[in-house]
Amino acid sequence: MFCREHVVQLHHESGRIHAAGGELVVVGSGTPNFVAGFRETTHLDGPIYCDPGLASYRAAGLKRGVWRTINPLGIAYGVRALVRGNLQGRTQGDATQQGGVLVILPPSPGRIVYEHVSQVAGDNAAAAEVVSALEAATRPRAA
Amino acid sequence: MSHGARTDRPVPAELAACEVLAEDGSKVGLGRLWADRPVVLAFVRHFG
Repeated sequence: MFCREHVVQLHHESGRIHAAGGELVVVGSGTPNFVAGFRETTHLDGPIYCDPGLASYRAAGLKRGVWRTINPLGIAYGVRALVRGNLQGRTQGDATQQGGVLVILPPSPGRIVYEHVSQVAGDNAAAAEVVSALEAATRPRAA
Repeated sequence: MSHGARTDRPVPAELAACEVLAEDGSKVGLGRLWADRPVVLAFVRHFG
C-alpha cells in the first residue's frame, strides 16, 4: 500500500516534473512480470524498472531489515495509507527492503541534488518536497 | 514521514553502473536514465 501510495503521489506531480524537464522513473524490487499489474493500480504511464537483486538499492544506500518493515511507526503509516484508500496488494518483491527517492541531474555520471532514504515502511518523502527540489535545481540562474 | 535533504554530490559510480531490468526483461544501465534529462528516481519497496 505504501508503494502504491507513494507512486501515485509522485505521479500526481508529473506535470511539474515534466515542466522542469524531468521524468519520474520508478525502480521496484519485483520482477518484470509484476509491472503490468502495478501500472494498472497506480495508473503510472512512465518508465518502471526492476532490480530483484537489489544492487541499485544497496548502491543508493537504502535501508533493509525486518524491523524496518514491522514496527509501530510502520503500522501507523499503514493505517494512514488504508484510510486514504490504498489497499495492500500481494507483496511482489522484497518486503524487507525499504525505498527512497533521489533527484539526479545530467550529464553523466550525474549529480544528486535531493535524497530521501526511507527509515521504515511507509516513511515516504512528500511529493511536493521532491518536486520542489527538482524545480530549484533546474531553475535557470540569473546572470 | 521524514524529510529528505537537498544536496549536491556526484552519483556514486557503483550506482550509475548498476543494471536494472526493463519490462521486457532487457538489461538497462541505470546511469543511462539520467544521461540527458533530470530524473526523479523513486525506489519502491516492492510492487504490491
